[in-house]
Amino acid sequence: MRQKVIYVLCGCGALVIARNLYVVFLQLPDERLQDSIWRIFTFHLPAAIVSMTGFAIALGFSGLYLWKRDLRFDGVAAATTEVSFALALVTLVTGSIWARIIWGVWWAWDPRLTSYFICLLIYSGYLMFRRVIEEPETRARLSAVLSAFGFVDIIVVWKSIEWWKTLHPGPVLSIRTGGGRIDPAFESAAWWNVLAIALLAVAFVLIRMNQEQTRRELDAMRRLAHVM
Amino acid sequence: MIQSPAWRDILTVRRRVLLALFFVFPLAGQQAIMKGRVTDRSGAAVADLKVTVTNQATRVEHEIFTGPDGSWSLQLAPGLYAVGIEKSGQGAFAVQDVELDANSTHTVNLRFTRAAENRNLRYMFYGFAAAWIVLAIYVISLAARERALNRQLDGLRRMIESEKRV
Repeated sequence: MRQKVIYVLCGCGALVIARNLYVVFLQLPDERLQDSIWRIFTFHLPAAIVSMTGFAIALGFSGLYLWKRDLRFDGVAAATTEVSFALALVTLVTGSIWARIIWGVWWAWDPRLTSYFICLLIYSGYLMFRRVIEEPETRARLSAVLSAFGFVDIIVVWKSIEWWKTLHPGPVLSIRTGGGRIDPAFESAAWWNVLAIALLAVAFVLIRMNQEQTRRELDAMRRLAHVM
Repeated sequence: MIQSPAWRDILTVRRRVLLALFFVFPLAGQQAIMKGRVTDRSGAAVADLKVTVTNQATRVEHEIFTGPDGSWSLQLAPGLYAVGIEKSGQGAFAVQDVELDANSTHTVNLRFTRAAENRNLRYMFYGFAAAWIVLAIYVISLAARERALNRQLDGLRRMIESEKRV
């Protein structure tokens, strides 16, 4: 059943992405000040939204693990964190390429960029710890603590463009600004990509949850083999 | 009638002139028009742009500037031409080989692309390519991990079963 859901999600995600690529490249015009490079925004922003939402969901499941001590919750948290980390990398790389044209540099130690970089370091630590620690309970407990620690930085990332008005553009989406900062057609393209990336992200999370389940089975069998 | 040498010279000259006219007049009539319009990527006319038309055989260059509506027109002899466009300070250039037939009008519409536009398009491509490469690497790593986990699980199952039999 889960396999079918994964296929359906991947298929729907691919269809929505194909539709979005058609709209973004062939229907929407260049932006007045940014020219054609603005199109990177339609991937950069959705990847950031989905990844940050993913980190929030991971924190929720980490909290559930600490409360219920059920390793299945830890599996969901790990799966969500890993997929969110991949999307955060997409955000960082696309943002850097956009910055090369608009700012003239690949990277700037701007509060938004710096806090995002710290966020990536924390979650890469999370993923490395999970590979190193063999004991499932210790692994899950430590992961939950790191997830909470990382999410504090996610809040800083989110609010940084309001707290410090520096190089990175301020909020543009209507839900944060009330409208007027971005053309509605461009905003619509970004939201469609949020949907597409979210569909693919859920499919990847389900695949990773299967793998976490297999890993739990492996741990159980190792313990059995050890007793035998 | 026997013609005197003087008359013979005049006739020879007349014949030469007629012969020359016979060949020169049709050549003078073999003119063709090359015209066109230059627009940018959004379809707007680009004015004051230098259009250079070069005869590929003789290397003779003809230059003209586009008008306010981006149009230009030149009267040329038939032949194979290269058409180039450039605007000072913006470094754009586009060339197209054009075969111009006698007594014909050939329209060459060109699209003017600024150097900055080209760079933007290149970086936009890098951005999208980078996003897809990161996702592709992640999907490949997922598949590799799936295979590795299944291999480990099968190995452990076999080991436990063989232990049980013993």
